[in-house]
Parts: sequence; C-alpha cells; structure tokens
Amino acid sequence: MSTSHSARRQALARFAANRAAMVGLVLLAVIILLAVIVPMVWPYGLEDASLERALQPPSFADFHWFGTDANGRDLFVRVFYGARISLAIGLIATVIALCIGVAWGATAGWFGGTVDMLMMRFVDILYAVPLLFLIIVLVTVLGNNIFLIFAAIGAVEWLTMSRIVRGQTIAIRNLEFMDGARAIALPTPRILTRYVVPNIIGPVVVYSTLLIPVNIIVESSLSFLGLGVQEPLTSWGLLINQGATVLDSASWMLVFPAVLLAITMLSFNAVGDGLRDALDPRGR
Amino acid sequence: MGGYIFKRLSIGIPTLLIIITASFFLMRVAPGGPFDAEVDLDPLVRANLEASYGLDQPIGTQYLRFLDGLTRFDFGPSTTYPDRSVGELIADGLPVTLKLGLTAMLLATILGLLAGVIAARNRNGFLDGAIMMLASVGIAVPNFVVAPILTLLFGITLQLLPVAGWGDGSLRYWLLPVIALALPQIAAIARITRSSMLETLSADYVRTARAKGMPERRVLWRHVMRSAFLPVMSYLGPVAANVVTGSVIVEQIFSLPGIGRFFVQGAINRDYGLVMGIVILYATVLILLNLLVDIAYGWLDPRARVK
Repeated sequence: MSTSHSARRQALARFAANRAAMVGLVLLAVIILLAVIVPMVWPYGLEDASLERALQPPSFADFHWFGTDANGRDLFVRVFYGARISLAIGLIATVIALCIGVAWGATAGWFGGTVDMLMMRFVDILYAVPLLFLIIVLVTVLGNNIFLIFAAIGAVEWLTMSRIVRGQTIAIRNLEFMDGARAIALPTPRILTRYVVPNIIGPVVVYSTLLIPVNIIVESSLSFLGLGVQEPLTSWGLLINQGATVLDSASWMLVFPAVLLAITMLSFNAVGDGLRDALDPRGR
Repeated sequence: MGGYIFKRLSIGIPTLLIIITASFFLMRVAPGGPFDAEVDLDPLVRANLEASYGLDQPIGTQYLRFLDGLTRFDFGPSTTYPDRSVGELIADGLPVTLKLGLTAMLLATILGLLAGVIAARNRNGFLDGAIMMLASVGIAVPNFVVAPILTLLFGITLQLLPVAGWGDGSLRYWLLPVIALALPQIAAIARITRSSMLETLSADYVRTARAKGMPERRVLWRHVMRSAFLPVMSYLGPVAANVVTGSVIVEQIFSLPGIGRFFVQGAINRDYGLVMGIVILYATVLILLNLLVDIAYGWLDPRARVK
C-alpha cells in the first residue's frame, strides 16, 4: 500500500464522520443479517402454501408481518429469501465485473499503443448497445439459469471499470517510482501486482460499491421481465413483479419488496459516495 | 469541423458493422433453436421449416443475405409471430416507443436542467437540500417500482388515468408511462446540472464578469449556462440508452404495443431474428444520437474538436 498508515486512518475517520454513509452501512448490515437469519428461524418456509391464508394483509398475530401472497405463502420469509438471491447476484456479478475490468483496463493502460487501442475500441463497441440489452441477449443465448445470470451480468458490467482502471494505470505508469521498479528489472506481473494495483485500488473500491446496487437493479429488471430468477426461487425483482399484478387488491405484496429494494439502493449509494469522499477529499 | 465530423463517423460506422456481425453469429451458434419446442418435430417437417427460413444454407450465405436484407429494412422472419416479419413488427412498435422515448427525454432534460439550476442557485439552502434528496431517491428507485406506484395512485386510487394499454394513443394513455420513464433521468440530469453549475460559478472568468459589473442575469445566461450545459449534453447519450432500456420495462408494465414488448417476447421465445433485429435497430439509433451529440458538443465547445 502506498497510502501510509495515517492517511488510511484519516480516510477512515472521514468516512466515520459521514452520517449518511454510516446510516447506510448500518442499514445494509441489518438487511444482510435478516437475509441470513430470517429464512432459518421463521415459522413459515419459502414454499409453505395454504390457500385459506391467501392474500392476507400484514398482521403481527400469526407472524405474517408482511402479509401473504396469492398462494398463501408468507411474504416476510419470501422477501428475505429474495434478499439472499438479489444481494448474492449483486455481489458475485460485481466481483466478476471487477476481475475482468481490472485485468482488462490494467493491461490496456500498461501496454499502451496498439494493444490499448484495440482493447479500448472493443469496450467502445460494447458500450454502443445498452447493457441490459447485451445481458438479455446473453441470457437468451445461454439459457435461463441462475448461475448464467450471475455470469451474464458480470460479463457485461465491467466496461466502465476497465475505463477507470486504464486511466489510473496510465496516470501512474510514468511516475518516478515506476521507473525505479523497472530499473531494478522487476518482472511485469510483479510490478503490476506490487505497484500498479495498490495505487489504483481507491477508485476501484468506490466504483465497485456503486456497481453492486446497479447489478441488483439489473437482476431485478431481468426477473421482473420474466428473464431472470424463476420460481420456485425468488428475488426482489420477481416479488415486485408478482406484487405489481395484484396491486389493487394486495398492495403489500408490492410495497414491502419495493421499499426494501429502495433502502438497499440508497444505502449502497450512500456508502459508495462516503467512500469516495473519504478516499479523495479533494472531490468536495 | 469537417475533419472532426469525419473522425466521429469513422468510429460509428465500423462499430455498427461489428455489432451486426457479432449479433448475427452469436445468435446462430446459440444452443436451442427456435424450433426446439416441447413437441418433438418430425425430422421432415423440421427440415422443411428450416428450409423455409433459409436455415439450411451455409452460414456465410445466410450472413450475406441478412446484410443484404438490412439495407432494405428487412430483418428477416420472426418465429414468435409467424405471419409477420421482424421489419413489420418493428414498424408497428416504433411509433409508440419513439413517442414515449422522445417525450421522456425532452421532459427529463427540461425538468432536470430546471431543478439543477434551482438547486445550484440555492446552494446548501432548503431548496437545494430538498431537490438533491429527491434526486437521490429518484436515482435509487428503479422504474419498475415507480410505475406500479404511479398506477396505484393515479389509476386505481384516484381513478384519473387508465391503468394500462395504449387506447387511441392519446395523452391520458401515455402520460404515466412517460413520467415513469423520465423520473430517474430527471434526477440524474438535475445532479449533473447542479455540480457543473457550481463548478462554473466559481470559475475565474465568471468572477471577472461579475467584477466588471455585469448584471447577474447576464452573467448567468452568457457565461455560466453555456459551459454548465456541456456536461449535461454529453450525458444525453447515456440518457437515451437509459430511456431505451427503461422503455422495455415500462412498455411491459403498462402493456404498451412498443418495440420493447416484442423484444421481451422474442427473448423469452428465443426468437433470434426478432431479438437481433431490435438490438441492431437500437444500436443504430444510439450510435446516430451519440454522433449528433458529439457534433453539437464540438460546435459548442471548440476545445473538443482538436482533442
């Protein structure tokens, strides 16, 4: 790490002083905790259907805190089970995008010249098609399977990441300590992992945090359209879809997953903005 | 300027060709053909079907025939809607999608600019705080949540507007879809406008303009707005892409007969011709639009021409 110990501590202090970011962090922690715990301990399971309990409004009496759906399944457990899938897809797709984007951008920026030109032209070309369309094309071609959805989202959402990393790599490539590293003949992979990656990590972390909510929205959009997660599994997008169809008679089916999704989005955005301000105080 | 336009064109046209080629071959090598339905087809029937769609020809021939067709707005047949061609379906849906998309973009640009300017002029004041908070929410809440809530409010509770459908295509049918489509973009444009206004307001030449006693209104219109508008304009490309993406979802929610619905139907049924045709159409539209934005940018900001 080139950032000194005290610089990191300062950044941490700045982050801790950011009220919106801290609230976001706490909310995310609560949602993740509930997503882990609720499906394990709740008296109803994901698939416990009972037609005489169909479309019950929320009540505390019989543990249907969020009401029930058209099949009489408990919505509270379904919403947090959906949270598991939505958050997992958001995280895993982001990790995939992170790996591809960093590798692509660092290679292009490091080698420069024709390699850079060709690699970035490829990125420009993919940019010309809206990303959701690319993902839908991939899902159409590859078939509809939850692992392929992770992969399809990750395989498309790395474009901006690669541009950021490339810019950062070019910026530090010509700095003096890089000349030093080259002068003592360090092999390229070692220069990349030892000097380049630690120096570009700040913007990458910030962008990754902001990419998670984007990927959650992408997954939800796909599931909403019927092209993503399928029953018997569920996700926030699928729950919102089911809620939207019974809007006039059972509004709770839309409201709870939608509110939870919105809180998650706002929290991730607040944390990401907080990280950016903490890591780069000049921005404000 | 001529050289600048030529340079932008020399990037746009190959991009489009590569997208067409890539989507053609991607769809052809894809597993699961359009005739892999639940029922097993008799091999003879299958061969006949494939022959009638030209799928028995060598892939190179298919590709050339496809390219040739594109020049005549012929995207080939659709397997989801056997009695219609993809070109016909697109021609049917395009007016609806265009009307939605263009209105939403116009609305987003006007309201976004207005909100952003108001926020910047009241920096750190109450209005600024309120607008920026709404903008954060607007960006965080996706349109498949906004749309049902709007329907619930105006369609079901207040009974003011129809819940879904295109009807005769009059205002009351497309008002809610346009709002649902525009809201996230209004929020994004407001944010960009605000930050670029604030940046320009603290620029040296603005201080100079004020120092020489220029009236504030004139400073704003003459010096601030022009350069504050540039980042907003270069964001119009992404706005168009977002509106195109959003219209797929909004058309689905409000059951509007636009291109987006055909796209989703095509994707669900693995109708390669339909999906490919729509991707190519959208890519063309977006590349053209980005070209226009680039040209306008070069015209407004001479610095961009030499870069």
